[in-house]
Amino acid sequence: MSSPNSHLDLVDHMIRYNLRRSVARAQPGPAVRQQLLQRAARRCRARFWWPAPFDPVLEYDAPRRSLTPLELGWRELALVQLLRPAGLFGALCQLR
Amino acid sequence: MSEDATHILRLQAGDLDALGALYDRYRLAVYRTALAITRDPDAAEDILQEVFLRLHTYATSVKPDLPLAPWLYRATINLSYSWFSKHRWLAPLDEVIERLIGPARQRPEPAAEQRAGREQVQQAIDALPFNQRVVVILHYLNDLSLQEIAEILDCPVGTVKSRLYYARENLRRQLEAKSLPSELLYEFTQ
Repeated sequence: MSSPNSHLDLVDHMIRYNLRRSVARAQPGPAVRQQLLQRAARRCRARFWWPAPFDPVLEYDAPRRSLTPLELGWRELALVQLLRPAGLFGALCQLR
Repeated sequence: MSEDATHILRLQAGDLDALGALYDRYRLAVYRTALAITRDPDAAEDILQEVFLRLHTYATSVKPDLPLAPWLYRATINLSYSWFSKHRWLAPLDEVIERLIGPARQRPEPAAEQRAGREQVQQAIDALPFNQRVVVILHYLNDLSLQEIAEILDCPVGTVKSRLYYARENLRRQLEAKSLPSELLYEFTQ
Protein backbone atom coordinates (compact mmCIF):
# COMPACT_ATOMS: atom_id res chain seq x y z
CA MET A 1 0.00 0.00 0.00
CA SER A 2 1.35 3.43 -0.88
CA SER A 3 1.82 5.97 1.90
CA PRO A 4 -0.21 9.20 1.84
CA ASN A 5 3.04 11.10 1.19
CA SER A 6 4.14 8.96 -1.74
CA HIS A 7 2.46 11.29 -4.23
CA LEU A 8 4.19 14.31 -2.71
CA ASP A 9 7.49 12.41 -2.83
CA LEU A 10 6.87 11.83 -6.51
CA VAL A 11 6.12 15.53 -7.02
CA ASP A 12 9.37 16.35 -5.19
CA HIS A 13 11.25 13.96 -7.42
CA MET A 14 9.66 15.34 -10.57
CA ILE A 15 10.49 18.94 -9.67
CA ARG A 16 14.10 18.13 -8.80
CA TYR A 17 14.60 15.91 -11.85
CA ASN A 18 13.03 18.40 -14.23
CA LEU A 19 14.78 21.50 -12.92
CA ARG A 20 18.19 19.86 -12.99
CA ARG A 21 17.61 18.34 -16.37
CA SER A 22 16.50 21.66 -17.85
CA VAL A 23 19.76 23.43 -16.96
CA ALA A 24 22.17 20.50 -16.71
CA ARG A 25 24.21 21.29 -19.81
CA ALA A 26 23.53 25.02 -19.90
CA GLN A 27 26.50 27.30 -19.57
CA PRO A 28 27.24 30.90 -20.47
CA GLY A 29 29.16 31.74 -23.62
CA PRO A 30 32.88 32.51 -23.36
CA ALA A 31 32.28 36.10 -24.46
CA VAL A 32 30.46 36.88 -21.19
CA ARG A 33 33.64 36.66 -19.12
CA GLN A 34 35.56 38.86 -21.52
CA GLN A 35 32.78 41.47 -21.67
CA LEU A 36 32.50 41.46 -17.89
CA LEU A 37 36.21 42.13 -17.37
CA GLN A 38 36.18 44.83 -20.07
CA ARG A 39 33.21 46.58 -18.49
CA ALA A 40 34.76 46.33 -15.04
CA ALA A 41 38.03 47.81 -16.37
CA ARG A 42 36.10 50.67 -18.02
CA ARG A 43 34.41 51.40 -14.72
CA CYS A 44 37.75 51.48 -12.93
CA ARG A 45 39.02 54.03 -15.48
CA ALA A 46 35.83 56.09 -15.22
CA ARG A 47 36.12 56.16 -11.45
CA PHE A 48 39.70 57.32 -11.69
CA TRP A 49 38.72 60.37 -13.74
CA TRP A 50 35.47 61.25 -11.93
CA PRO A 51 35.48 62.07 -8.24
CA ALA A 52 32.92 60.11 -6.22
CA PRO A 53 30.13 62.76 -6.03
CA PHE A 54 30.08 62.97 -9.82
CA ASP A 55 30.73 59.32 -10.52
CA PRO A 56 28.51 58.52 -13.51
CA VAL A 57 29.02 54.78 -13.04
CA LEU A 58 28.08 54.70 -9.39
CA GLU A 59 25.26 57.12 -9.99
CA TYR A 60 23.88 54.81 -12.65
CA ASP A 61 24.34 51.64 -10.64
CA ALA A 62 23.55 52.67 -7.12
CA PRO A 63 20.29 51.21 -5.85
CA ARG A 64 17.86 54.08 -5.57
CA ARG A 65 15.09 54.26 -3.08
CA SER A 66 11.97 54.92 -5.07
CA LEU A 67 10.01 58.00 -4.09
CA THR A 68 6.59 57.32 -2.67
CA PRO A 69 4.09 58.91 -5.04
CA LEU A 70 1.76 61.44 -3.42
CA GLU A 71 -0.93 60.75 -6.01
CA LEU A 72 -2.32 64.27 -5.92
CA GLY A 73 -4.83 65.34 -8.53
CA TRP A 74 -4.75 68.74 -10.21
CA ARG A 75 -7.27 70.13 -7.70
CA GLU A 76 -5.11 69.18 -4.73
CA LEU A 77 -2.03 70.58 -6.45
CA ALA A 78 -3.86 73.83 -7.21
CA LEU A 79 -5.03 74.06 -3.58
CA VAL A 80 -1.51 73.44 -2.25
CA GLN A 81 -0.21 76.05 -4.66
CA LEU A 82 -2.78 78.58 -3.42
CA LEU A 83 -2.19 77.86 0.27
CA ARG A 84 1.63 77.97 0.28
CA PRO A 85 3.07 81.06 2.03
CA ALA A 86 4.19 82.62 -1.23
CA GLY A 87 0.95 81.68 -2.97
CA LEU A 88 -2.25 83.65 -3.40
CA PHE A 89 -3.59 82.86 0.07
CA GLY A 90 -0.28 83.80 1.73
CA ALA A 91 -0.14 87.02 -0.23
CA LEU A 92 -3.72 87.92 0.80
CA CYS A 93 -2.94 87.17 4.47
CA GLN A 94 -0.04 89.58 4.34
CA LEU A 95 -2.15 92.40 2.85
CA ARG A 96 -4.33 92.93 5.93
CA MET B 1 41.31 32.51 5.36
CA SER B 2 39.12 30.98 2.64
CA GLU B 3 39.94 31.25 -1.06
CA ASP B 4 36.85 33.44 -1.60
CA ALA B 5 37.95 35.82 1.17
CA THR B 6 41.35 36.21 -0.47
CA HIS B 7 39.72 36.97 -3.82
CA ILE B 8 37.34 39.49 -2.24
CA LEU B 9 40.19 41.29 -0.51
CA ARG B 10 42.08 41.42 -3.80
CA LEU B 11 38.96 42.67 -5.56
CA GLN B 12 38.55 45.37 -2.93
CA ALA B 13 42.10 46.44 -3.73
CA GLY B 14 41.11 46.77 -7.40
CA ASP B 15 42.50 43.49 -8.75
CA LEU B 16 40.34 42.46 -11.74
CA ASP B 17 41.95 39.00 -11.89
CA ALA B 18 40.20 38.28 -8.60
CA LEU B 19 36.89 39.15 -10.27
CA GLY B 20 37.75 36.69 -13.06
CA ALA B 21 38.58 34.00 -10.50
CA LEU B 22 35.31 34.51 -8.62
CA TYR B 23 33.43 34.49 -11.93
CA ASP B 24 35.02 31.16 -12.89
CA ARG B 25 34.10 29.71 -9.53
CA TYR B 26 30.45 30.79 -9.38
CA ARG B 27 29.40 31.39 -12.99
CA LEU B 28 27.53 28.09 -13.40
CA ALA B 29 25.57 28.42 -10.17
CA VAL B 30 24.56 32.00 -10.97
CA TYR B 31 23.85 31.34 -14.65
CA ARG B 32 21.79 28.21 -14.05
CA THR B 33 19.77 29.86 -11.29
CA ALA B 34 19.02 32.84 -13.55
CA LEU B 35 18.18 30.50 -16.42
CA ALA B 36 15.85 28.41 -14.27
CA ILE B 37 14.01 31.57 -13.21
CA THR B 38 13.86 33.41 -16.53
CA ARG B 39 13.92 30.45 -18.99
CA ASP B 40 15.79 32.76 -21.34
CA PRO B 41 19.49 32.04 -22.05
CA ASP B 42 20.20 35.61 -23.23
CA ALA B 43 18.59 37.09 -20.14
CA ALA B 44 20.51 34.63 -17.95
CA GLU B 45 23.81 35.75 -19.54
CA ASP B 46 22.91 39.41 -18.99
CA ILE B 47 22.02 38.71 -15.38
CA LEU B 48 25.23 36.74 -14.86
CA GLN B 49 27.31 39.63 -16.15
CA GLU B 50 25.37 42.18 -14.12
CA VAL B 51 25.72 40.16 -10.90
CA PHE B 52 29.51 40.14 -11.16
CA LEU B 53 29.58 43.76 -12.23
CA ARG B 54 27.67 44.58 -9.06
CA LEU B 55 30.13 42.50 -7.09
CA HIS B 56 32.89 44.63 -8.57
CA THR B 57 31.05 47.89 -7.89
CA TYR B 58 30.11 47.06 -4.31
CA ALA B 59 33.16 44.94 -3.45
CA THR B 60 34.00 47.18 -0.51
CA SER B 61 30.65 46.42 1.14
CA VAL B 62 31.06 42.64 0.80
CA LYS B 63 32.35 41.08 4.01
CA PRO B 64 35.23 38.68 3.26
CA ASP B 65 34.56 36.60 6.38
CA LEU B 66 31.04 35.68 5.20
CA PRO B 67 30.29 33.14 2.44
CA LEU B 68 29.92 34.80 -0.95
CA ALA B 69 27.32 32.45 -2.46
CA PRO B 70 24.29 33.94 -0.59
CA TRP B 71 25.31 37.46 -1.75
CA LEU B 72 25.50 36.23 -5.35
CA TYR B 73 22.19 34.36 -5.14
CA ARG B 74 20.50 37.46 -3.68
CA ALA B 75 21.81 39.64 -6.51
CA THR B 76 20.74 36.99 -9.06
CA ILE B 77 17.22 36.87 -7.68
CA ASN B 78 16.88 40.66 -7.51
CA LEU B 79 18.04 41.03 -11.11
CA SER B 80 15.85 38.13 -12.26
CA TYR B 81 12.90 39.77 -10.55
CA SER B 82 13.58 43.03 -12.43
CA TRP B 83 13.79 41.10 -15.70
CA PHE B 84 10.70 39.09 -14.84
CA SER B 85 8.58 42.14 -14.06
CA LYS B 86 9.60 43.76 -17.36
CA HIS B 87 8.85 40.66 -19.45
CA ARG B 88 5.80 39.31 -17.66
CA TRP B 89 3.46 40.47 -20.42
CA LEU B 90 5.28 38.29 -22.98
CA ALA B 91 4.23 35.00 -21.34
CA PRO B 92 0.49 35.30 -22.08
CA LEU B 93 1.40 36.10 -25.69
CA ASP B 94 3.35 32.82 -25.93
CA GLU B 95 0.34 30.98 -24.51
CA VAL B 96 -1.95 32.50 -27.15
CA ILE B 97 0.44 31.48 -29.95
CA GLU B 98 0.70 27.99 -28.48
CA ARG B 99 -3.12 27.73 -28.34
CA LEU B 100 -3.42 28.88 -31.96
CA ILE B 101 -0.89 26.47 -33.43
CA GLY B 102 -1.47 23.65 -30.92
CA PRO B 103 -4.48 21.98 -32.61
CA ALA B 104 -2.65 21.89 -35.95
CA ARG B 105 -0.08 19.53 -34.50
CA GLN B 106 -0.43 15.80 -35.05
CA ARG B 107 -0.70 13.27 -32.23
CA PRO B 108 2.79 12.90 -30.74
CA GLU B 109 4.83 9.68 -30.81
CA PRO B 110 5.59 8.00 -27.44
CA ALA B 111 9.04 9.66 -27.21
CA ALA B 112 7.52 13.00 -28.10
CA GLU B 113 4.82 12.31 -25.52
CA GLN B 114 7.46 11.90 -22.83
CA ARG B 115 9.04 15.14 -23.94
CA ALA B 116 5.63 16.80 -23.84
CA GLY B 117 5.16 15.44 -20.33
CA ARG B 118 8.44 16.97 -19.20
CA GLU B 119 7.37 20.22 -20.80
CA GLN B 120 4.16 20.02 -18.79
CA VAL B 121 6.20 19.77 -15.59
CA GLN B 122 8.31 22.71 -16.73
CA GLN B 123 5.23 24.74 -17.61
CA ALA B 124 3.77 23.99 -14.21
CA ILE B 125 6.96 25.31 -12.56
CA ASP B 126 6.95 28.37 -14.83
CA ALA B 127 3.33 29.06 -13.91
CA LEU B 128 4.18 29.39 -10.20
CA PRO B 129 4.14 32.89 -8.71
CA PHE B 130 7.65 34.42 -8.68
CA ASN B 131 8.12 34.06 -4.90
CA GLN B 132 7.25 30.37 -4.94
CA ARG B 133 9.29 29.68 -8.06
CA VAL B 134 12.40 31.23 -6.52
CA VAL B 135 12.07 29.11 -3.37
CA VAL B 136 11.52 25.97 -5.46
CA ILE B 137 14.59 26.70 -7.61
CA LEU B 138 16.86 27.49 -4.67
CA HIS B 139 15.70 24.39 -2.79
CA TYR B 140 15.52 21.78 -5.55
CA LEU B 141 18.11 23.04 -8.02
CA ASN B 142 20.73 24.49 -5.69
CA ASP B 143 20.06 22.16 -2.74
CA LEU B 144 19.86 25.02 -0.27
CA SER B 145 18.29 24.49 3.13
CA LEU B 146 15.25 26.50 4.25
CA GLN B 147 17.50 28.45 6.64
CA GLU B 148 19.91 29.37 3.83
CA ILE B 149 17.02 30.42 1.56
CA ALA B 150 15.56 32.55 4.36
CA GLU B 151 18.90 34.33 4.73
CA ILE B 152 19.14 34.94 0.98
CA LEU B 153 15.59 36.24 0.71
CA ASP B 154 15.87 38.09 4.01
CA CYS B 155 12.64 36.64 5.37
CA PRO B 156 11.66 34.26 8.22
CA VAL B 157 12.16 30.51 7.76
CA GLY B 158 8.41 30.04 8.26
CA THR B 159 7.73 32.16 5.18
CA VAL B 160 10.09 30.05 3.09
CA LYS B 161 8.49 26.88 4.44
CA SER B 162 4.97 28.05 3.57
CA ARG B 163 6.04 29.22 0.07
CA LEU B 164 7.58 25.82 -0.57
CA TYR B 165 4.49 24.06 0.73
CA TYR B 166 2.13 26.09 -1.47
CA ALA B 167 4.44 25.69 -4.47
CA ARG B 168 4.40 21.91 -4.09
CA GLU B 169 0.65 21.88 -3.65
CA ASN B 170 0.24 24.11 -6.71
CA LEU B 171 2.46 21.82 -8.76
CA ARG B 172 0.71 18.70 -7.56
CA ARG B 173 -2.69 20.14 -8.48
CA GLN B 174 -1.52 21.33 -11.89
CA LEU B 175 0.17 18.04 -12.72
CA GLU B 176 -2.89 16.09 -11.63
CA ALA B 177 -5.12 18.33 -13.75
CA LYS B 178 -2.90 17.77 -16.76
CA SER B 179 -2.73 14.02 -15.97
CA LEU B 180 0.83 13.20 -16.93
CA PRO B 181 1.36 10.22 -19.24
CA SER B 182 2.10 7.00 -17.40
CA GLU B 183 5.46 6.60 -19.26
CA LEU B 184 6.64 9.85 -17.74
CA LEU B 185 5.59 8.91 -14.23
CA TYR B 186 7.46 5.65 -14.71
CA GLU B 187 10.52 7.54 -15.94
CA PHE B 188 10.53 9.76 -12.86
CA THR B 189 10.44 6.79 -10.53
CA GLN B 190 13.55 5.25 -12.11
